[in-house]
Amino acid sequence: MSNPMIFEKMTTSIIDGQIQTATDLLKQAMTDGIPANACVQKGFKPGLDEIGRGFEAGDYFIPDLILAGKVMQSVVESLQADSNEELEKKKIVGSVIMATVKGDLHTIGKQLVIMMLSMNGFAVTDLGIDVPSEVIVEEVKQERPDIIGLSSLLSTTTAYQKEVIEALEKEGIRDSVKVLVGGAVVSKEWAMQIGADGYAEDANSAVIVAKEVLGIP
Amino acid sequence: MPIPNISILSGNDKDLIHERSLDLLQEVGIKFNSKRAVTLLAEAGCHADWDSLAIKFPREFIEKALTTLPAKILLAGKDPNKDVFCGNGSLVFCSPGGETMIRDIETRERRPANTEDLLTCLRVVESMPEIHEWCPMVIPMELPPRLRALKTCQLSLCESSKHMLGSPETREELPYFLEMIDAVVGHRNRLKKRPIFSAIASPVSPLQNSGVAVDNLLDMVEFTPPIFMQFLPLSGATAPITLAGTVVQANAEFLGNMALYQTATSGWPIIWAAAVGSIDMRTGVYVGGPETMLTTLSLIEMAKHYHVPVNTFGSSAAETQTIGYRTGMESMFGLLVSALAQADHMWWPADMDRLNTCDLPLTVMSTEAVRQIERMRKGFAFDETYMLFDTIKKMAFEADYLGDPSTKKFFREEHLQPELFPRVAYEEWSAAGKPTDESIAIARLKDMLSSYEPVLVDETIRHELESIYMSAEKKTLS
Repeated sequence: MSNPMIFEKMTTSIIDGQIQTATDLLKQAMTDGIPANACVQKGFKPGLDEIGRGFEAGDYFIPDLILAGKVMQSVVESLQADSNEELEKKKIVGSVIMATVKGDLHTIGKQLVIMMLSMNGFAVTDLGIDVPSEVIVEEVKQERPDIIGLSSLLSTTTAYQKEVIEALEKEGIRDSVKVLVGGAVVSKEWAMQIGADGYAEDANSAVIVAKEVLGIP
Repeated sequence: MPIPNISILSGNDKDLIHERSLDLLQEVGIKFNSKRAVTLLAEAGCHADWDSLAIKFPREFIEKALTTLPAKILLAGKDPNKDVFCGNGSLVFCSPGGETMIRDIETRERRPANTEDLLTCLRVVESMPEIHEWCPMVIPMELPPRLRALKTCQLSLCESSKHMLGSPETREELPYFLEMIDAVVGHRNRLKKRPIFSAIASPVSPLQNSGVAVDNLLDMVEFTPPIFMQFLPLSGATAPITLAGTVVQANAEFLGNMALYQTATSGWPIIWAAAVGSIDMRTGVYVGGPETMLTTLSLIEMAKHYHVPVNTFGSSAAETQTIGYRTGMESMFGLLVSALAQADHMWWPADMDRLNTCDLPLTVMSTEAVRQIERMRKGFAFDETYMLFDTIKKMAFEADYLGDPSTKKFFREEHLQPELFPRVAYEEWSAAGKPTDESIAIARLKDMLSSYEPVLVDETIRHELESIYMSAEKKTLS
C-alpha cells in the first residue's frame, strides 16, 4: 500500500472511531518504515481535524469526538511504547484541575469538559467525584494549576462550589487560580454570586471560557 | 366504561425486561457505597464486594423482596384532611422540588432562589388543592450548604399542611431533622401509622448510590417513611443509548435498591420515580422528548407489573426558558402520556430550563392542563342511561339538544368547563386588554397570595423547631 493510501485509511480510522484498524495500520506503517511523526501529522491528525470541523458544522456529535479521541490516544500510546522517534509535542496552553464537588457522584459533564479542554491544548488533571473542598484546595497548593473546574449536577451540592472558593480565600491563594463552575443546575448568576471567575453551561463553552479567563486568543 | 389506557409492552416484553434485570443484578450488581447496606445484604445471602461496596443479588432474593412491596401507600398530611393515598388508582400530584433558580413574578427574570421564594412557593402550593403533596420547590441558595435541607424542612413543617416529600442530605442534618419530626408529631415512631414525610433516595445511574443517602435512609428503618426512589438515568450518558437498554438498566436499578430496603424491613413503602432522560449529543446537557416518554411508559408498565406505585415527571422535557407554545407542548405531552398509562404520582409541571428554574405562573397555569388530563382519565360512562337513545329518537332531525333536559342534567358531568382560561371570542378578549395566558396566571397568582391564610401552627412547636435549627447551626458552623 502506498503512503498516501495508508494515511487516508488512518484518517478514516479516526473518523470512524476504529481503534483496532488504527492499530493495525500503525503496525503496517512501522513495518514499511514510515516515520511516526508522518503517521500522526499526515494520517491520524487530519481525522481529528475533520471531526473537529464536522462537530462545529453539526455533522458530528459528542460520541464521534470521544471515539476519535480514544483512537488517537491509543495511537499515541502505541507510538510512545514502540517508537524511538520523538513525537512533536503538543503545545500546552494551560493547566486545569477538574473535580465534581463533595456529595456529588455525577461525572458525565465533567468528563465532557475534560475531553474538550484536552482537545484544545489544556493539560487536565481529574480529581474525580465527591471531592472534599479541602482536597481541592490542597491540590491547588501543590500543583498550582491555572484553572480549577468545579462540577455540580445536583442542586443540593452547588453550594460546595462556594465552599471551595471561600476555602481558597482563607488559605490566601484565591488569586493564584481561576475558578470555573458548571453543572446542570449551575448558572451565570450563581457563579457571580459566589465569586467564581467563569461559568460554562456546556462542554463547548467551557473551552471558550477557559481561554477567556487566561487571556488566550 | 371506556377509559383511555396507553400500553406498549407485551407480556413477553415485561418478562424479558425482568429477566435481563435479574441477570444484570446477578452479574454486575449495585454499588451501594455504604458498608452498612453491604453488610445487611451480605448477611441476608447476597454476594458482597467489600472493596467497591457493591452487591450482586441472587435472582430469588429479588423475587422474594418484590412480594413484600406495598401496593398502596398513605402519604399523611400534617393536617389529616390532606391525607392522600398513592397506588389506589387516583393520581397524586407533588410540587417539583430542588430548583436553584426562580423566575421573578414581577420582572420575569431568572435569578437564584432564596428563603423568601421558598415561603412564597409554600403559600402557592397550600392555596392549590390540586397539588396534594409539598416538595420544597426551590433551594434557598443563600443558606450554608450543610444546613440548607434542614432549614427547608423546618419551614416546610411549619408552613405546610400537606405531606412533605423531602429529607436531609447530610449525615449531620439527620438527627436534627428527626428531632423536628418528634416536635411536630410527638414521637417519630408515630410515623409508622401516619408518615407525614417521604424520604428521597436518589441513586446515581449507572447502578450505584450515595453512601450518605443510603445510611440516612437506613437510620429511619424503625419508622419507615415512604421512600421516593428517583434515578433519572440519561440515555447515552449514564445509561445505554438505546431505549431498550435504558429500560433494562433502570428496571435493574429499581429492583436492586428496592431489595435493600425490603431487606432492612419487610414492607417498607416505596414509590418508584421512573422518569428517564437523555442528553443532547452536541452540548451534553439534559434533554427530554418522545424517547424519554417511551422509556418512561415502559417503566410505568413494569411498576404496574410489580404492583408498586410509580411516579413520573409532569413534563416530557421542561427545556424552555420562557412560557410559550413549547412549554405547553412539553407539559401536556408528559402529563397526558403518563396519566393515560396510569401513573400513580407525578411532579406538577412548574419547571423550566431543564428542570433548573421554578416558575410560579407556570405552576398556576398547569392547573388547566391537569384538569384536562384528569378528565381524560375518567373516560366516559357507556351504558343505556348515557347513550340517550330515546332522546336521539325524539330529536330525530331537529338540532334542539340545547333546550333538552338531558343536556342540563349531564353537561357539567360530561364536559369539563375551563376554569383559568375562559373561552372568549376575539372582541371580548380584546376589550379585556388582550390578556396573555401568562398575564392571566400572574393575576391569579397574585390573588392567591393576597388572600392566603397561613397554616395554623402551635407557637410552641414553631419555637422548638427554630431552637433545633439554631443548635444545628451553632454546631455545624463552629
